[in-house]
Amino acid sequence: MARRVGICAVAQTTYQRDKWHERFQGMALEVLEPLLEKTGLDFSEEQGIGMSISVSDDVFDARTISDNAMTDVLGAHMRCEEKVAQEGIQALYYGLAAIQSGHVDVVLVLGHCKESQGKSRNMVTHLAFDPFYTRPVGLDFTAAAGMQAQAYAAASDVTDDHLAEVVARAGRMARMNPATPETAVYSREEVLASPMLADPIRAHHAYPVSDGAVGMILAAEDRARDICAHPVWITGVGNCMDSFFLGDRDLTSNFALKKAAARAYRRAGIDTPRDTFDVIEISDQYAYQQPMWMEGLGLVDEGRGGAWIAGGGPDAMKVNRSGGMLAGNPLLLGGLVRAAEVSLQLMGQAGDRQVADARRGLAHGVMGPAGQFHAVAILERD
Amino acid sequence: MGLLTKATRFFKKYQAPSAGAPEEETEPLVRLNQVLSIPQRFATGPVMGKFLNAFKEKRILANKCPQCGRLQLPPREICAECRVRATEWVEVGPEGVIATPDITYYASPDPLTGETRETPYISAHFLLKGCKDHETLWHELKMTDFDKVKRGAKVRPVWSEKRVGAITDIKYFEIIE
Repeated sequence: MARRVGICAVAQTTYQRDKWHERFQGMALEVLEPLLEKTGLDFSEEQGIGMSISVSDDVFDARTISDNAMTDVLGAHMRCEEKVAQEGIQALYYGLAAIQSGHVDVVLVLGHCKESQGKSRNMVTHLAFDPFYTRPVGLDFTAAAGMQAQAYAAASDVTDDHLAEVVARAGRMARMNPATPETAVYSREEVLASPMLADPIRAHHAYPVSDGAVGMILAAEDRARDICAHPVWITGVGNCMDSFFLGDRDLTSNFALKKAAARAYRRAGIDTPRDTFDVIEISDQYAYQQPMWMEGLGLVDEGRGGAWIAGGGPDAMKVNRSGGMLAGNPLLLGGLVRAAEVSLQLMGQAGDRQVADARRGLAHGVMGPAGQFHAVAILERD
Repeated sequence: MGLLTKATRFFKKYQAPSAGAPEEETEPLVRLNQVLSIPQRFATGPVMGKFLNAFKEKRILANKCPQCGRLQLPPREICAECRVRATEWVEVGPEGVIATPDITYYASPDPLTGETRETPYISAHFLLKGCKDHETLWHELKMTDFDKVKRGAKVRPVWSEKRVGAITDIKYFEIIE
């Protein structure tokens, strides 16, 4: 039996449109210092943090080997330094594996992303495509999501009205989250009147551009109980990478998400995922993704996301009480923030958005065009 | 060695598709030229920003680790060795000596204009007044000082007329006769 791994502390900056006054390093320190303060940890070789995993992206940071800029800041000078250039929730998986292997007992995970630095976020995701077939025509993550949203609209009961409600609710939720002070609160009418970006995705359906950083401390069970009173246990993680070429995929099948969820549920010993979670945080980069990912997770009937929204499903199932990605987290960090949010809920530290007596939660991350890659983590407390 | 010789009998030597055939008989292989570029606006933050702002007044600032006392030039947020914020500031230079010089004979072109800086150019680690050991600043040395370059030669910065808070506000260092 592998050793249990607990999340002992989480910290994050606010997520704002343009943190013009800070470098990545300044944002990271805003996260690192409270993590060290809360846990009493340091970077000593005997009992301290044994591995620092940064999350960053070379193109967003506009430098190759982007972790070189972070090593000094994350205490990793002359130590074990690792990098995840993927959806940040993968760093949780990486840290879990490192601890379960027995190589280290305590891991720092810290991700940053500044979407405001480049002229356009779409210019960055444009570079995720090949220079031969797709880039010259204009593909980026927003355009790819438009293709998927079209296909999903045809295959499900989800309408423009449902999506307007998803966005309006995200704004209301964000009001209860001190990490998203700038998030716009739109009425349904305002969402419906916003211009098209990639039909049927409207301007207000897209997650806002933001800068920020998030981090957490992971520890092996015996250390975790020393470090904090109520560790949040990572009981199951699963991920799946779908085809890179959009044409190779059935864009409405949720293939990768179903696989990722099934793997996480199996590891966590969950046979019937419905009514299992007290709190759910999913990465909804675009409004249509909230109902679509819920279907893929097996938590909503297939093709019935619209009825779920109309029936108050998101509130009833405590989905994205933080506001979700629609309230504003940068790409790359969405899933790691979701895991941090579920952890705060399970630790009873979620403030105004706290779900009473939350014991088990699900965090989801997504990366790549039109949900190419999905990761699911199940988190629980004693 | 014998095994390797035998193994090569199973494989044909690789031939480029166009090799051995006249050009007109082969299908032309397409190559695409593209320039990748995303305009950036880099925040400097309160630490680098303070250092760069001081250039406007021709001042060179280093920051100091409160634990080990070493200076960082140019300044960075953290003393990596002590893992604490380097919070103290001291003015150094502007004069100093050459610690390690080098001459570079090429330069990477700007991806959009294709232009390169003048080459060759001399760069060096400069040990400025008030600094010790590895507390050196990397910058350029005036090219016309080429014949006089040596470790320990005394230098001073030559400032741009118009200073905007950039590392190039120092045009270069020059050797003091």
